[in-house]
Amino acid sequence: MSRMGNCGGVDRRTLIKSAAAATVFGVVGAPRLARAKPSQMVISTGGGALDDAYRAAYFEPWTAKTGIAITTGPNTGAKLKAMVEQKAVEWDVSQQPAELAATMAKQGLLEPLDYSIIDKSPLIKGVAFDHFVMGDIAAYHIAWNTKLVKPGAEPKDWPGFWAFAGRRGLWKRPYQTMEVALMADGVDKDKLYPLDVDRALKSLSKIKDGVYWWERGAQVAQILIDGEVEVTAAWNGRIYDPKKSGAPVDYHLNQALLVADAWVVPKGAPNKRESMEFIALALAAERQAAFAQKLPYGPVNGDALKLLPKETLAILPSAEENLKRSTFLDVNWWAENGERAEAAFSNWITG
Amino acid sequence: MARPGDAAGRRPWTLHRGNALLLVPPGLFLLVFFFWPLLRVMARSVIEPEFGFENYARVFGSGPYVRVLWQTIETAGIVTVLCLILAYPLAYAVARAEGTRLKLLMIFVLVPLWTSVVIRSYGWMIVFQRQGVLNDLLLSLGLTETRLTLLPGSLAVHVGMVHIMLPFMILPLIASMRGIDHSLLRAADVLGAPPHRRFLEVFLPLSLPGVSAGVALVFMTSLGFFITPALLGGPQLMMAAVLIEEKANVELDWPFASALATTLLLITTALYLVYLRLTRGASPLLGR
Repeated sequence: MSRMGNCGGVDRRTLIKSAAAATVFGVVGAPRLARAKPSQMVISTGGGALDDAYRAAYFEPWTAKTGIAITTGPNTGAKLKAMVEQKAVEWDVSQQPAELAATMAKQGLLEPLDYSIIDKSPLIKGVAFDHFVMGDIAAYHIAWNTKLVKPGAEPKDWPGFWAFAGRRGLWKRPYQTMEVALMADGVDKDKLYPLDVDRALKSLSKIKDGVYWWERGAQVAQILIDGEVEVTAAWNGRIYDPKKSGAPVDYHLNQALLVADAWVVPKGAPNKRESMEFIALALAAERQAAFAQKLPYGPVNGDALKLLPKETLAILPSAEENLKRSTFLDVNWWAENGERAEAAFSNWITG
Repeated sequence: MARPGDAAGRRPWTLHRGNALLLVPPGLFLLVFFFWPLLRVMARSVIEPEFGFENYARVFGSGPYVRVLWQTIETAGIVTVLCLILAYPLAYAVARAEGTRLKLLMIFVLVPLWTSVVIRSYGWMIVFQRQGVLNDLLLSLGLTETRLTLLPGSLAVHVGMVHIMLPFMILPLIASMRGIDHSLLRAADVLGAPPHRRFLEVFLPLSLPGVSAGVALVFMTSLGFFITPALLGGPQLMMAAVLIEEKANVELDWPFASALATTLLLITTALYLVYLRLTRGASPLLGR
């Protein structure tokens, strides 16, 4: 949620409306098997630039192909949980940060994905799960302010980031931040899991006082451009645009931690078959390539990578060259151990 | 009881009964949209994941959550005291003003209320950041050598919250000060009381209902404050509402978020009861 923004409470009005709608349609609705194709689907997303890219790469082609219009809305995780609990689900598909999708799966809030409709054979390793499938891949990486950090003086990797003499920024969440703390302490990028929480906190303690703990994706780009920090951990989707439009920021993907957006279908979603078909379309090579040309988030479909020019591949986290020097966040580890790691992190950071 | 049609047997219509009737619509509204959901939140905190007080054991059994609750009370207290110190003289000036001067002063008090809390909190971010106005000023005056890191931090949270809560302290103060009968002050004067005694022994006690209303409003609201501490406060100053949002929205841990919310509600209620005892029911919030 924090990666692409949008953090609202549960919209009470929508909840009531959906509850009312559920009551009405629950009574008069046709039986599942005999029902007609819907004329409209609701897909919730993180909004902003992400929503624009989805619209161009996935939503419009979907409507052109099926005649089903798509409306979008904010993807507040708490709202999904509330809708599922009230049995008044109005979302057909939702885009969620993969780690939150894993938590939702663990809480039983998601439909299992139908891999007879969604073709997982061209997908790269480690993106398809029982209840969610990653849709695009971003990176948590090292970024710096080019006015404050001399060319060549930027940290080359996480140990370099830890040794950097200057103001540093990190995300105020244990996810991702603990991983980079372990890499900073010399843990091999392919041997991060299961995470050694104590060792991660010990590593973080070495730099605790000088760290600017940012919370939201929009904030990290701002504090870097403003010079509030000289170097920071950040997501490429937040840094790429300012860099392109001339702001004094730059980044690299060395030792980057790969994080993802995932597609999920809330339990009890109204048009399950179409939901699965939509996800299948969103994972098709051509559509994935179109998306990657809008936003610097990498495709999960290996065939999509073959359709893209070299310049584009260079900035995509899931392109082969970049995959070699980075590593995936293990969302299942977080779904299983998140609570414990979270408590240890809160205790450490407020202490 | 009266028989139907027996006009004389009907209870007479009184203003009191009319008032009670007027309470029905808001009462029903609160029952359905406030008390019922609130009850469900409270119930969830003891029912899930299994019946018992496990969630509360988590709240009180570990250092960080108790610390966050304590910080919340402490911050609300600091903000309330600062608001009172700043608001009292200002309210005094407004209360004594008349005509155009009064209108102008009231506009200054009210305008901040018309601006969104989010925008005002972002405004304070611009003031407090390293490349911000405050640091520029301190440097150019030669008061500091290097830029200070004030954000995120407790100073920024306190200043931001005081700014936002100030009108809620000023308005009840003005109301109670304007109600003070000035002939009482003149009488004190005639009887030979010097200015400081006129203030301490006549004006101040008479303004106390306003003080107590303002303190209650500001303190209770500050306990549940979200936006300003979320934007300006770092991990060192985490307020309860920010923590609850994180648990409910980011981690989807609703049972625990419910336990935290219930705890905050109980603390607030307990503090309010203590406050009522201290002010001996003289709070104008209760209509006396």
